[in-house]
Amino acid sequence: MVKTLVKKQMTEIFRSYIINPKTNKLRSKGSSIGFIVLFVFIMVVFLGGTFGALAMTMCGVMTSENLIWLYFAMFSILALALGIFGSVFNTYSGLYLSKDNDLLLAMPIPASVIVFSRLLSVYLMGLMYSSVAIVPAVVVFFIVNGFSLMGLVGCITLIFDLSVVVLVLSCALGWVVAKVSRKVKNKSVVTVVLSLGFIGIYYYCVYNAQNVINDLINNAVVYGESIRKYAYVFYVLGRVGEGKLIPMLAVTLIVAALALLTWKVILSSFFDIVATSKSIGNIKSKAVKGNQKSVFAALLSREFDHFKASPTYMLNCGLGTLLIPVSAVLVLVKGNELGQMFDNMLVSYDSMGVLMACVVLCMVATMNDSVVPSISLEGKTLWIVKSLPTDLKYVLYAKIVVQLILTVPALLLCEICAAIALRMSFLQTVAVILFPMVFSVFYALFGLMIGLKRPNLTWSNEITPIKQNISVLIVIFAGWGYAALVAGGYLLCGLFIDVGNYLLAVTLITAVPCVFIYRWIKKVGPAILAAL
Amino acid sequence: MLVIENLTKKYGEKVAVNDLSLHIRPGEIYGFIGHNGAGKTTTLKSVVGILKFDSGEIFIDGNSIKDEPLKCKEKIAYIPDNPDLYDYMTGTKYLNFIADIFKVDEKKRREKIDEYAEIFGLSDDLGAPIASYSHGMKQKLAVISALIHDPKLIIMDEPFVGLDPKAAHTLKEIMRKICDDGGAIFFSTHVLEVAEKLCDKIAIIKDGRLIRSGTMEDVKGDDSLEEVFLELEG
Repeated sequence: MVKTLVKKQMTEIFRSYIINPKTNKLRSKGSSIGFIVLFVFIMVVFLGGTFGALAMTMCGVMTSENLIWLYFAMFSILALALGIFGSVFNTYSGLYLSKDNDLLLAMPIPASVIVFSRLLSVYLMGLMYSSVAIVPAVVVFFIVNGFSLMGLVGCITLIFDLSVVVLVLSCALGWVVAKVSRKVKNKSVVTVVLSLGFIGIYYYCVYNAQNVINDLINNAVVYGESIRKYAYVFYVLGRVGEGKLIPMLAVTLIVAALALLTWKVILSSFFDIVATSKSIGNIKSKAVKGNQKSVFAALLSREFDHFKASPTYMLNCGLGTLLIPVSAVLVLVKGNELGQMFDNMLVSYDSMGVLMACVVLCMVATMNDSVVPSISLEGKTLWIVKSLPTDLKYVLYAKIVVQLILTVPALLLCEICAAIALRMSFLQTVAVILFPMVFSVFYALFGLMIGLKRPNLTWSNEITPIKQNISVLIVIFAGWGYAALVAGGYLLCGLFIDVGNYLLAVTLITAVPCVFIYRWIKKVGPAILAAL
Repeated sequence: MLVIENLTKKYGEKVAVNDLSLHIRPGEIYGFIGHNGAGKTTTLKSVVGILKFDSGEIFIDGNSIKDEPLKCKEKIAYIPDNPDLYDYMTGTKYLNFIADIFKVDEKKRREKIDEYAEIFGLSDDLGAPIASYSHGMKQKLAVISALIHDPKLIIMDEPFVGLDPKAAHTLKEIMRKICDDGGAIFFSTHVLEVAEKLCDKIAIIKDGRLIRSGTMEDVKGDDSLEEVFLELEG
């Protein structure tokens, strides 16, 4: 029974690698392997490479100062942060909001088996993210210090202990969200506010990480003493990484006890929370207000209702709406300084800072990708729009417009801030306003096209189309790639053309695929949607 | 009101509906019965334009569902067998959304929603998210949403499943009234007693083929519908 449920859970997570969402048929072995290799490449090369480089900087210094434990302690903190950040958003919805909870609870399956299978996927997610930080540190440690058996046992124990701590903390946060949200009327808002608070702390740490690391390397002995004195738990974690037997046993026992406690709490409250999450409660019915809207306004409103009702959707596909204005404030405060830094880096080029502002803005804008999973999110309700007397192209347009509404006003604010902070000329200002706008349109159109070509309507938890969706990865990387291409293009031809004219030319070039994709969506999109 | 001519729909090699023809006139309640997998839902989905078919024609009030799908859809309402509605909306929002798409004016939609919500005992729950509704409540909401734009033809797939006896009785009365006012209803059901009492005409489908259709008297003669159905299904 456990095996069956775990298999089902794993199939959901890795569905897009095994099954072609377009045809709902098994992919060929080659295709599956190709997608898995791509995913591993992204995780290992991009994320693992970043942490590997950081480990190379720190490991030698820490070894010479005889502070290997501090090295492992720092990477343990990074692994915990990344692991929790990567899995915490899945925990609440994955545990308590899965559509098949009722079905499984109605079957002769003990709740413990259901909870175990759900927690296993949370654990694997946490293990994956925490490993991305800690495994490169381990590899670098062995490269610098040579291999030892106890070192290997210690590192494996540390990786395991960290992954379990990630599970415990993610579950604790998910449980708190579940407990709080069932007491309040607007659950989505509570979940989003709690999550944003968490994200804020995370980004604060990331923002200050480089300074902290530099400071740490320069004053390793002093900080080592402080951590040993005031944050003993990290000292012990560091000793685990070193391969010290007593810390290994002690930490593993404590972690096992915490995991057991988490298991007991989650299991005892699971049925209660699942049952309450669907109850009507004391909602008073209001008199029916029927403000008539146009068909398009109704479709737009429908998309926004869906977006607002799902914390998972908002946090994963609309974070840019918050971060772009935050970027605007940052640009006002630090823009001039950053602009000058870029200008000084490549003095032969005209206003490198202006170009970089534009490129960075586009990259931040890629955080809003609500349009990509929007087709898949129709799920089993797709019959409604298909049976209504409305041209399906307006359904598609509404999805695009939602993403643009979430992105463009914030982007405009940020562009104006950038123009003020970098003291841009009129031409540069026009270019910096136009290019990210056209880029946003391109990103939304491209996102919808990929969403249409690779739909998955048969999910049981909306995490599947939102997070475990290769289309989302494709679109985000395409957006980043295009922005990087624009920067690279300027390095090639920036000696012959000023930045304002270059950006205007790129704007025009970007508009061309927009026209083609728009025409494709208009002509082919409705037919694809109708055939789903 | 509804003309189905030589409808054929295949799923790969499997023929789900095979050369099916039916005519439903204004004022008729037309029952559609058959065993599981006989092709009922495929036929109904083809009629409402959410499933493409391989050959044949479907006309709704003279308009082809292939060539003028929007004109057809303006005149019909569809209630599926499993009412998967927008969980993220409240009942009121969902009804307003449907009313907006059908361009129902504010006064009329308020009257209709109030009237049908009262009849189906859903008034107190319209402010709640659909996610919290039971299957029966979703079914009632789907029925109300189908009625607010005064459709000429209602297509229903197993409409009584999940409804409590009172709501089922109310729905039957509403169905009769719609047809008395000149509308038409085409619905599938497994409840033969309901079909026998409610329908003016009936069609029996087996393995995608129409094996008998006509008035209740034509189809069953002096036997019960159950006896005829079981004999035909073999």
